[in-house]
Amino acid sequence: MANEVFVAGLGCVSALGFGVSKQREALITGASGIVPLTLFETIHEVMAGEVAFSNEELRVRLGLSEGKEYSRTTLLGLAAAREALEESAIEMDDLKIGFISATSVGGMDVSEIFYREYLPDNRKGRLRKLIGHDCGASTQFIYENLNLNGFCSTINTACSSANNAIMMGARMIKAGLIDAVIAGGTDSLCRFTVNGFSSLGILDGELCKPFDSGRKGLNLGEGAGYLLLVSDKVKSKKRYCRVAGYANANDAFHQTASSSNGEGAFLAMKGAVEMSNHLPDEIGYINVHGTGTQNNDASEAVALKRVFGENVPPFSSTKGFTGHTLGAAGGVESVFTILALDGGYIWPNLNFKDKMDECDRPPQITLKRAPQMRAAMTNSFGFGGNCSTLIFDKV
Amino acid sequence: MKTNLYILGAAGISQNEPDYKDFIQDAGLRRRMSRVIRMSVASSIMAMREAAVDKFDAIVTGTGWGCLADTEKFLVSIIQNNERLLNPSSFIQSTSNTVGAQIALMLGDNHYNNTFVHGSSSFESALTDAALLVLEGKHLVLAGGFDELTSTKRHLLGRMGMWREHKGGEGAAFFVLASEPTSKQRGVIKSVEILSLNETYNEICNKAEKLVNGNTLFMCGDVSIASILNERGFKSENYKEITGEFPTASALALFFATERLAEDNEIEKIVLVNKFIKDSSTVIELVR
Repeated sequence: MANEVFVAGLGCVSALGFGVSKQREALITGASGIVPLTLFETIHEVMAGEVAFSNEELRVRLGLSEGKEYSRTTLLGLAAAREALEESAIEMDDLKIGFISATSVGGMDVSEIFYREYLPDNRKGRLRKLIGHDCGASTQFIYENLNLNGFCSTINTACSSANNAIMMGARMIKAGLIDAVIAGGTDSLCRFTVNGFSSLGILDGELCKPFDSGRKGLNLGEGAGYLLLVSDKVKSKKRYCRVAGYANANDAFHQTASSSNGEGAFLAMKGAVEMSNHLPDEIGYINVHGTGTQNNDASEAVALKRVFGENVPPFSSTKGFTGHTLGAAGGVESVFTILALDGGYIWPNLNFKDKMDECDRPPQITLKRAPQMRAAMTNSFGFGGNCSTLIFDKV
Repeated sequence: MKTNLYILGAAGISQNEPDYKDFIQDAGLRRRMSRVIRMSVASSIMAMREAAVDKFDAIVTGTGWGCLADTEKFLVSIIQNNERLLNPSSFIQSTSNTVGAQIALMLGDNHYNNTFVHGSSSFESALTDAALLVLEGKHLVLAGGFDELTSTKRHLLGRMGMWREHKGGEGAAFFVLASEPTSKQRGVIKSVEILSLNETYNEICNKAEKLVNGNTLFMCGDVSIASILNERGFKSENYKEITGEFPTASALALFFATERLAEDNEIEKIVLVNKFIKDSSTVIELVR
């Protein structure tokens, strides 16, 4: 159980671009990727963090054969997972490498097209459109495409899914069950989630304003983010950091709403800090969940205060850059958190104007250099009260 | 992975659904829950009552198809109402972790809660998580697997040709798992393995055969695996004749296996070998 877990590779695709270097560039320049939604037609006027490539462009970039049905979730996931693996330059031959992926929508983008034809006439609709529907389908496809050989599974705990996937991967390495694992998540924009969040009345028609007193809701996004985690014995080109702490806790308050005392978020952060053996003031940056909804940000702010007291570390939500990428959020934001730690940056929280009552400390609103940072933390919270926190330490 | 998970309570629901009033008293809540949520919550309560445990260090679940009825209901409403004035209830309940979340909500449980959605190894992934939790020093884990076969799913799988050789199934099964033995356990899970997708029937059977120890019964989730093991001289049965085919049939079968151990004192070990169409096979080793 004593195995240490290191991050040896990063992979990411989001509204900020294709590949990790594009993410870093945009985060440094403060350029949001959120635009009016163009991917599909909907009656809702929404702003979204779209990946600026069509499925066909993604397929060609990835060198996948023509004439097969690939869900967007699969395409985004493969791009990011492959980048994480290739960047690490690990020798795959003698290693057991797993894949633990998170997704909340799976192949819903393709199922929606099928269902429009199927609903009026159940003899219609091309069955091959359904091959990618189940959440596990994208995971299995990517696993085989990358020739992996270790444990393979999929997690869906809604918006905290990818943090749970990273946590599961780290635990499996610690237990000696695998040598390395690609862990994170992938989700694509689709009508299902646009309408779902719209029906809940928590979409902001303009740019989202996380942690602002005038926040009106979230912007949806899409993308994929993965970490390549390795045990101490695995040689890699670079070691970004060590996975120092993690915890998952349940708010047990409501199926969708967060409690006013932020119990789940508090327990997840507290658990991760305790595991990391850090004093709270040693955390140099927190990438908060910060969706921009009234309820989430208020609850998270209360939880931050409960964990850190008057000394809440510098924090920001990067959802103003990418939108909320749902099941991928923990993966995308873990990449951002590690880029912050690695480069000594605190990313700006976009669109912030006024402090909210629950939060004495405003988020970081401009890019700040923080070369002394030793540890950074990231939060992801999901439906069903699922709260998950990760902490990364410099090595 | 190798483990020692002591089963203190187990329950499963499939064709014969109980009167849910005995388990979910709130009529409004009962009505709002889709069938898969009701089946799952009720079977988890049955397992907890048997074990006399309602405090856990973790809740882990697995589902291959997810909360299909709610997903479909919301998808249909988007199309039929042309995206206008949608009721969010089915969207809220469409995520696969709704069951684990409902149980946590019911118990006021703030601990670890995770849900795996990887086809026919979803339940085995959850058991792997349970085994890891015990290795990390946790004591009590609630684990379950569930799937619902909606009429649309049945129709679509029919169009894909599934019912030519298989019969449909659905169900939920939950287990109260402990790190330490007690006097009233139903059995002990000694190992759980998810095999590579490419393994042939013979390779799967070779692996299963290595687990024979004393009077061993193979409960197989595939007719070919059952007959190969029979031909090799082992006692084996195809449980899909009873459970029907669905991704987490192995969870229901594990419940049946614990019942078998109780009924038949001669059996020392049951090895569950599952294979779902075009998916990974899995092995669960159960002893007294």
